[in-house]
Amino acid sequence: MDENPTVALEPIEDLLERLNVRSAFGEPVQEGDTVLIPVATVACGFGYGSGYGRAPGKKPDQDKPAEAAAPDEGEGGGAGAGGGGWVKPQGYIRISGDEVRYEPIMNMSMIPLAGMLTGAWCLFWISAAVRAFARR
Amino acid sequence: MTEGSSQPTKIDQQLAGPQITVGGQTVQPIARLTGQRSENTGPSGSGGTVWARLTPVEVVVSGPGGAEQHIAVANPTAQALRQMAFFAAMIAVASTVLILIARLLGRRG
Repeated sequence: MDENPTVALEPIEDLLERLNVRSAFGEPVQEGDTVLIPVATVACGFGYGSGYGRAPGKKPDQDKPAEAAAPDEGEGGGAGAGGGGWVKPQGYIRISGDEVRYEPIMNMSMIPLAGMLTGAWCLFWISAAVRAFARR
Repeated sequence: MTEGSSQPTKIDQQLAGPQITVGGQTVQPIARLTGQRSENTGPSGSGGTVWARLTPVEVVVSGPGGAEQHIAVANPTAQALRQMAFFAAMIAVASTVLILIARLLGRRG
């Protein structure tokens, strides 16, 4: 087994090279006289690691030639990698005639949820402040 | 194999995409690539991480007359979430100040 295992870095280089503008701005779609270009935010991450270990070996027997020396008692190695990513649609570019416009898309499930959480958070803090003055 | 741990390298690039011509308009998308990469190698192992985020920034529109127009590509959901977080933080800070004032007044009274 190779004592210094090398991990192929090509996937990382490839991943970074693939993250070009075309990843954020999609292929133009023709809809009648209008052309739409989807726009999205893209994120990804990747990690890898490898290791090798060897148990302390016996010293070579002085009476025997070096080739006949006892091998190491144990060795092992391993490698792993993982990654992930997401794409969030953000809007689209609308090109119709002479007009070019950006049409954003609101995440209508995230905004009300965040609004409710913000409301509950504010209610908690305001009621805590009111209680502090009421106790006086 | 070279040994040692390298400092994380920041990635921050402005990328310009290919021009798209539709009718008389030429549209060029611009995006920003941010992130970080690090690699470590040692006598008994090696590892590394990389993360990257590609954010659309704007499109540059060139008309038939040569006039250039920059259209910002904002993320309204992220903006709304940031504003809500800022508002929530302000409420928490103001309430904490009021609670401390109430306690100080309570001790004096």
